[in-house]
Amino acid sequence: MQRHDVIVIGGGLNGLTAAACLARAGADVLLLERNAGFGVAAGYDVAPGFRMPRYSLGTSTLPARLVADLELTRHGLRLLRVDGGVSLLAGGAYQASYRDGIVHRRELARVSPKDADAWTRYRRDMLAAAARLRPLLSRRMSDPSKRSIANIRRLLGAADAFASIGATELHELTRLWTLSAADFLSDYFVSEEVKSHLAAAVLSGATFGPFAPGSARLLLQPFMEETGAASAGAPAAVLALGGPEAVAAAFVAAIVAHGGTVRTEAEVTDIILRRDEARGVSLANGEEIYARAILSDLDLKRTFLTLFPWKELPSGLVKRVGRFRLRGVTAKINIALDAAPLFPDVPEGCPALLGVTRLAGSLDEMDRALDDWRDRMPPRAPLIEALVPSLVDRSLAPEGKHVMSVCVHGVPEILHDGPWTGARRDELAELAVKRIAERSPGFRDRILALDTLVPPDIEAEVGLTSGDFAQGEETLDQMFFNRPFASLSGHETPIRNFYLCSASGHPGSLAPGGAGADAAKLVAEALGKRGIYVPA
Amino acid sequence: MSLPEKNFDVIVIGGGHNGLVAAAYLAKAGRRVLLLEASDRLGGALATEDITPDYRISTGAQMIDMLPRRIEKDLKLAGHGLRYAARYVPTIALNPTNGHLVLSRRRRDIEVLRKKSARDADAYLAFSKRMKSYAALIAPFLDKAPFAPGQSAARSALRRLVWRGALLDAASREALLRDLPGSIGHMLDDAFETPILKGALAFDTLVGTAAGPYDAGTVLRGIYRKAQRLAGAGAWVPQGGLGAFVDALAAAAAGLGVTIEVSAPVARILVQGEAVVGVETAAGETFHAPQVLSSIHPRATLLDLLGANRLDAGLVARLSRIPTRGATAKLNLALSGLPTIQGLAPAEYGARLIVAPSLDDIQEAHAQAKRGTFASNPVMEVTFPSVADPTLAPVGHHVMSIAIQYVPYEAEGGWDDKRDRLIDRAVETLSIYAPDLKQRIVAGELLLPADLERKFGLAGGDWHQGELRPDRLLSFRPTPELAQYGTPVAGLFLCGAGSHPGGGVTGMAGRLAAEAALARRARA
Repeated sequence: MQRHDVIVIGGGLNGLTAAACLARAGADVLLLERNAGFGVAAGYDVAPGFRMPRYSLGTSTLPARLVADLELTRHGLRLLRVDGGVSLLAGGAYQASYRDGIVHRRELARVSPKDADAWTRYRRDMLAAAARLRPLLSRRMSDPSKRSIANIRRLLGAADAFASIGATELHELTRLWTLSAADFLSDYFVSEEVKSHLAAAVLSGATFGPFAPGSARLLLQPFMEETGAASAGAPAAVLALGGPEAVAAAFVAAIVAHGGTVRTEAEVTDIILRRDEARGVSLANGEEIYARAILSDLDLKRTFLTLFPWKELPSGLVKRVGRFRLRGVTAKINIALDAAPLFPDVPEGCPALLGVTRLAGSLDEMDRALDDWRDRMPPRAPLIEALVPSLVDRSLAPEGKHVMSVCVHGVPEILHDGPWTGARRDELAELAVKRIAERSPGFRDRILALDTLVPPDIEAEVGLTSGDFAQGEETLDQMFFNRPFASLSGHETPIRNFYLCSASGHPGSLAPGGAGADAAKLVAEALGKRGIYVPA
Repeated sequence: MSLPEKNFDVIVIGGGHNGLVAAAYLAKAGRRVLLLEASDRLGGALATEDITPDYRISTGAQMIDMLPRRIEKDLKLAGHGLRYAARYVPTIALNPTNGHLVLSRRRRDIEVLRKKSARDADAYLAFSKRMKSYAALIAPFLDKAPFAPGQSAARSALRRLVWRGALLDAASREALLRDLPGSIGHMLDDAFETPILKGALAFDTLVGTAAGPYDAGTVLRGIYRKAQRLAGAGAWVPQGGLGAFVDALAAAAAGLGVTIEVSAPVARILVQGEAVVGVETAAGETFHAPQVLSSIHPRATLLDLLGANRLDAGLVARLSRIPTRGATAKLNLALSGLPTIQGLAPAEYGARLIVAPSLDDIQEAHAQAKRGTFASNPVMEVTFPSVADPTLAPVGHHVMSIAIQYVPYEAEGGWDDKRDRLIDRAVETLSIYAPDLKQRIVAGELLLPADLERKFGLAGGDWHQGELRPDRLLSFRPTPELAQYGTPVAGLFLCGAGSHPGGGVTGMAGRLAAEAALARRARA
């Protein structure tokens, strides 16, 4: 009988993080991944010799602290920082983001000198708001619905902390967390171009448009990893050499280096239960493996609705799980190109083109796309993100040729008038190609191969319910202690020894890897493992 | 205008209901009060006017929805002629196919719902109870001035909230924390399956706002309005329309000694040193008082009448971004008789009728309004005021009040050619329920948000002087530094709907501002 200290189900970013943290803590860890690749990090050849991420855009969202704590650089990770990208806007206009403050302000001044001045204020306020948020992300949520002295004391502490924030700052924070991105940006900027550009950079994967209350808080995301220099420009985009699969490989190397085991193509079908306690897992091939603790990196619904017989679950849990909203919103189009795409609207050699190029249109267009999505219509003018990783990483495509990773946002999981068919996938790809070609002459003729994945494909292949990359819609009613719901927000579940470590739990995509690291810490404590410092 | 007396204890700017309430309370406390109203009549958006001769209607607000009974008693409004034509007006969700729904917890109404969906009947009782318990948490904050964050009052208020929350059972607490920041659409989708029930409940939460059903913050808005209702006593209709209510209020104020001047627009608030000393009217007349309360929009008060140069830059910026986006139009119709609404019992014509068959219809109308147009199937609130109050129309004839939700202030390409189309769309949609409506129309008028602005002085056509959303509630209303009714200028106070607790016909902003002014004066 196989036995380990810990089994981690699923090799997404949080699963890898949890396994790496626990291995470092001295636990005997086994990570089981259903596919050959690791979650959305999986790469593939879109055409022979053209390597690219199959599901994700390809930029890295790894927090620097995680990279440092897990010594991923020592395990082969190479990160490149490039300028933050370009938005192609209505009427041939564009806006770019530069890391250098002077260059960035000059770029803003090109459309509005007033907005160039406002940047300093905007950046300062966003950094301050990010500093307020950061401590909440490394803190384990406790179930606020539980009535205990400790809990009331904690809530009273939170009330005091809240009351001690000055009126004006509290008001500004309330605005950031409840306003629409359009309203919030209008506090600072006057130019439609600048506002559209800043909104486009954060709306990828969002289930609400820039006019929807609550969308402003997304603007914070790029600043979470930023610190320091007041004179700086826009946050950088980060790419990993070799793409997301190289990031996963570094994690695997770290796990193995600390005595852990990683198995791919090992699908867990059931949790072995003894009364209300998880004892092990059964694999699709009939194998049974036992462990003292089991962590699931699958999303909430997949975890509870597929790994357990429903009747074995405590009453009320299935209903709560069923209510958790997972919403797919992004399609992936992978393209092999004969030559690098040209964007003549943008000055030649603009370094921001190494980051993400966004076909953003206007705020109104972006908002409309999400209204279409809500109506389950195929998008008419969606936000499209394109990354050409081979511009900085020559190993990805043959000499002179390129790969282009494209995300189309506002793509519903189910269409109002029927399922996604081959023909409808082609229509979507055609729309994306047409929109790109409008700004990139000759683009169509450079396409050597093209592959389209809509949300149901992503669900079928990676196992993300509804094709939701965030593993749960990120609205305030599904964030913090509400993620996935109050009694599960601390990673512990009603099943003893069974933990949730996926982004369905806090902090979700606010801090990639955060749920894995925090769940690992909890499990390490439970197992009495303190071998090496466990980050959280 | 000529007045012998130029010196008062207090001057109130604006004769809307909050201005009148403030003036009356101040006079009741023994102050000599002058109230100055810019237009030729009092009441602001509360008015009974002719649609066409012999057909009268409340042209703006339709009901007294949230007026605390205490104000009515304190000011002895009944003694000054206030009579109600109807009390506790029920709400009915009109169903285009079959079976309208009375939104109430009476057993008979629940049984009707049960025939549609047993699940929803149970869920409705649970939902009402839940919303009521949430509202009860907020209600205590509505009848006093908001605390200033960062002060010990804030600390103790929040601590009290934690203790009150601790009294709830675990399931309610979990639900509260999840529901509070969410959208009414998601909450209703979770709770119910009957589209018409979801539509009506969402409409009730969203009426008067530009927010859509799936927008974050809408549950909070619903709870807030519910809390306001708890403080008041449901929807009541005054005999003679809302104008009669204003008359009673004005009579009460006058009876308490308030000097009321109409057609006396204030041009400037006069300041000496750091303190207010009076006002100057557009006609050039000067009145002196050590305290001035303004019930007009906070922005107009401070930026136009006082002047931005007396305020710090941060406050000016915060004032200029108070959102004023009216999204409701009013259609008032004179009818030659009651139209026949299929399936509606005769006694039910006096109800508040909601035309919002599903969440999708509301979402669609909201999306259209964002794009500067209006829905082909508008969502509406309909009443026939003349059913309970026959004095409003000739015998056998009636008036109909229609609030059309999600009508943008500015239309794509201008409103000129769209007014008639909006009327057509509204009447066509209503004809689904009342096929004979069109032939009964004698006359009518449409008031778009811009018309409401012109007619009643509502900035942006916004009924609430700033939308009720999280960054504009409680200690943030209208801005953090102005939330306690005082301003940076000693003696100058805000007393309109732009201040806490805002919106609705509550009079509370006026009452609380008067209390703040009286307290300040007592200390001075």
